[in-house]
Amino acid sequence: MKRTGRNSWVIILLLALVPLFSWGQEASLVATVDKNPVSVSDVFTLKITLTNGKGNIETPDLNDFRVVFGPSRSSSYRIVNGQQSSSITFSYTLKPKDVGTFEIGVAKSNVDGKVLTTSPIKIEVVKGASTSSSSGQYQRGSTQATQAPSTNQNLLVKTQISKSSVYKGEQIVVSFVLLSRYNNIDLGEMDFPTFDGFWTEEFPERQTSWEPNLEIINGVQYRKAILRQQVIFPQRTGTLQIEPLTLSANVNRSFFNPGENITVRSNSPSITVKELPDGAPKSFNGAVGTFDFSATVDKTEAKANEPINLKVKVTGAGNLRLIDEPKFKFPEDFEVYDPETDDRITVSTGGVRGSRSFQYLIIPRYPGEYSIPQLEFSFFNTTTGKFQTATAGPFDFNISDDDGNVPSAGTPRAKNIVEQSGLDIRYIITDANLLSATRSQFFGTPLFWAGTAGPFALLLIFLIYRRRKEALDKDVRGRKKRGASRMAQKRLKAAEAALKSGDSAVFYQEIFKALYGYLGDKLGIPIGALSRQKILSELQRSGVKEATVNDVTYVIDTCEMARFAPVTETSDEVFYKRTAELIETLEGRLK
Amino acid sequence: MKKFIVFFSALILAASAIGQSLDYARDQFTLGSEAYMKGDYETALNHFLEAEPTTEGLAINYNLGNCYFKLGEMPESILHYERALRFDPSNEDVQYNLSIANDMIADKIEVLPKSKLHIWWKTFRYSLGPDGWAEICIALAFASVLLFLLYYFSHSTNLRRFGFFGGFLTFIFLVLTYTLAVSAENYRYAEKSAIIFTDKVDVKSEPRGGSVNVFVLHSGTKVEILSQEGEWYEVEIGSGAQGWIYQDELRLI
Repeated sequence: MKRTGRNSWVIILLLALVPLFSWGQEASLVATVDKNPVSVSDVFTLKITLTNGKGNIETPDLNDFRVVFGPSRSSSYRIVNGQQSSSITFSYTLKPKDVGTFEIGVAKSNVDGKVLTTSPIKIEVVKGASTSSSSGQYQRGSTQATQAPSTNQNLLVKTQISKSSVYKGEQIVVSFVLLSRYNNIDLGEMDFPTFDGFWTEEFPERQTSWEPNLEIINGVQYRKAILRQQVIFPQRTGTLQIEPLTLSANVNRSFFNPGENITVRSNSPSITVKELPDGAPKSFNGAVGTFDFSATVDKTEAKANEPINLKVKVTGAGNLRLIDEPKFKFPEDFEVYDPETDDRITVSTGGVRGSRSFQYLIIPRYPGEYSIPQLEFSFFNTTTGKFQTATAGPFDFNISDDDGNVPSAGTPRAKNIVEQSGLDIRYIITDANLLSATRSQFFGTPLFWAGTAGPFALLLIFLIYRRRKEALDKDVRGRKKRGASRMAQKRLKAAEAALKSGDSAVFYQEIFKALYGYLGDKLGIPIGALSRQKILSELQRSGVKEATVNDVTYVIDTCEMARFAPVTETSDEVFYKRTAELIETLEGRLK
Repeated sequence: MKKFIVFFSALILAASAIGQSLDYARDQFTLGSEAYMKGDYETALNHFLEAEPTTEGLAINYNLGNCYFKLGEMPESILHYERALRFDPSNEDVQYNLSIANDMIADKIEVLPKSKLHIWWKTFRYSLGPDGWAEICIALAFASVLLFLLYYFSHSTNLRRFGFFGGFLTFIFLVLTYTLAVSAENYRYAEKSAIIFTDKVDVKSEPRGGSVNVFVLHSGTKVEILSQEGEWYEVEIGSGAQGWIYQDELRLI
């Protein structure tokens, strides 16, 4: 029982040692070449390395190349800080057969049931003399590089962007990366691009140094260093291109060698900037990113003229430095000072993040109950691609009277100017009695015409009636007047006949009738109104001579007398003649 | 005689029918006003629309304009405000609301400035409405006839002279007033302007679909109609630009 116990202790100790020599890293299979492109007359080395693993390596097909030497197998094994690492390398020295681009296929290895593969390598074979340019990764010594700077494959600079399609205002991390196969390099002048159309944020300064990991591009291993990193925010829409970075460096300088000056240019990536969608909320102020919003006040109970602090904080990632102070609606009786801005912002490979806060100093001037309505902050959320509105508040304040500083009666309270703060239409009409029926218009109706033309029609009718009546009246009198002397002649004829027959009574009667009728017609007196008095007065008015009027009186009187007694003064013949003469005289007078 | 009775009873029936529908319109109007007061603009609009066919004038169109405004339908709102102005072009409330509604639409048209005299003349001509002028017409007719009678019957030479010239002058005023009434009636009922109802309209150079686009208008814009050619209207905007618009794109005021 005891023995077995000791044995098991030994086993446990041995087992405990195993982790000390564990495979520190996972197995990997990598294929590299020492130069690319290669000249057709040159040779190059292909290395396939299996790190931290045991297994067969299935080499790729190398029919496009002539194998000058190899494969040679080498292996290494080391323990660093108790970490065990091993590598097996197959090396080929190859010579191209022809000019063109050829692909070295995939090498495979089965390690612990897992199949590891290498990436295929495209080898560009160019015409030209033997160029032994490469001072391979870990080779010491100098070579004469004859390649032009732009095609130098041993030193590269790259502009890497975190995103190539963004919304306006969305942040992009830009890294300028140096890739080198030279061991010994002095960086000279670097010409970084200016970012037209972008707002930029710099990463904090730091020393340029080699990254611990190697980067393999097209089978060639490079050492990598980050020259500079920036965060950029596009301010315009459309396709914006970043200018290339130009860098000059002196390589391979040593005690025996003045080295070589190389100038390289980076790529020039373009960024597509999309406009923000329509329908931005009213409180949107240009913030793009992902944010949180909060607001706090230091007190809600205060005395008049006692300051209150309102702190509004925006936290998150995005264009924090471009966020303007949000516009809030404060009560009219609050005096609000321009806010103080406080930034706590860090710039890293994750972009710009941190917080920006605005501190408002508010002084309530008058006691009472006030309220700051809900505060709104809107931003464009780049993760969801939508506008988002965050709110805080509302805050209610109870402001009590400021005992120490009551405005005295002598100093009038500062007048607030009444301003129209809201814009809305005016209220409706509510009085239903103002309604009138459709097309109930009075103008143009028969009644309108009757009212307008009626008075004139009546006037016209009235005038015509009068004119006609007058005309008629005038006509009757005229005819009578004209016929007066004729009638008188007739009567006188009858009187003459009576005179001849010796009938005295009829004679006077006829004379009387002749004169009366004649005067009646001539003077326009109707028969009913005919009297001696009327005739005489009318005659006098007509301007007949006194003698003639007397004659008329005499004839009338004589005729009236003759009705009752025989006339003795004059003979009948004389009287007849006198009457005829009288009528003739009157005819001349009365026109 | 019989015919006469039939005619009159028909007239009375028609009048009472109008009276009844006007009562209905008034009820609907009151209901609409109450709903509007509560902020229920949808219901208010329905009541006002119910009243609309049997009534006319400033009030109903103004209220309809307000309802449409509150519901965010600017072209309808502007159409009704413009109709309300037909009944009283100098009404301040309507002008104010119309100016706010016009600020809400897409098109801002540079309106050619009009002289003070022009504005005063327009207000003078249309403010009384055809009926106001008609009443003045009748008053002038009576005055004119009375003055003529004075001329006719008076024995005094001065009075006769006054009667004659006064009557003649009054008659001339009567004719002028009549023409004002006619122009006020035309302004109110002759449809000479319209509101665009389509969101975006290409105004054409000719009354034909394929012709050149002269300019673009958006819904809510007021256009004056110059002439009509088939289904196309020739229009002019405030800045003086002219073009042709298909009839479905607009509604006459």
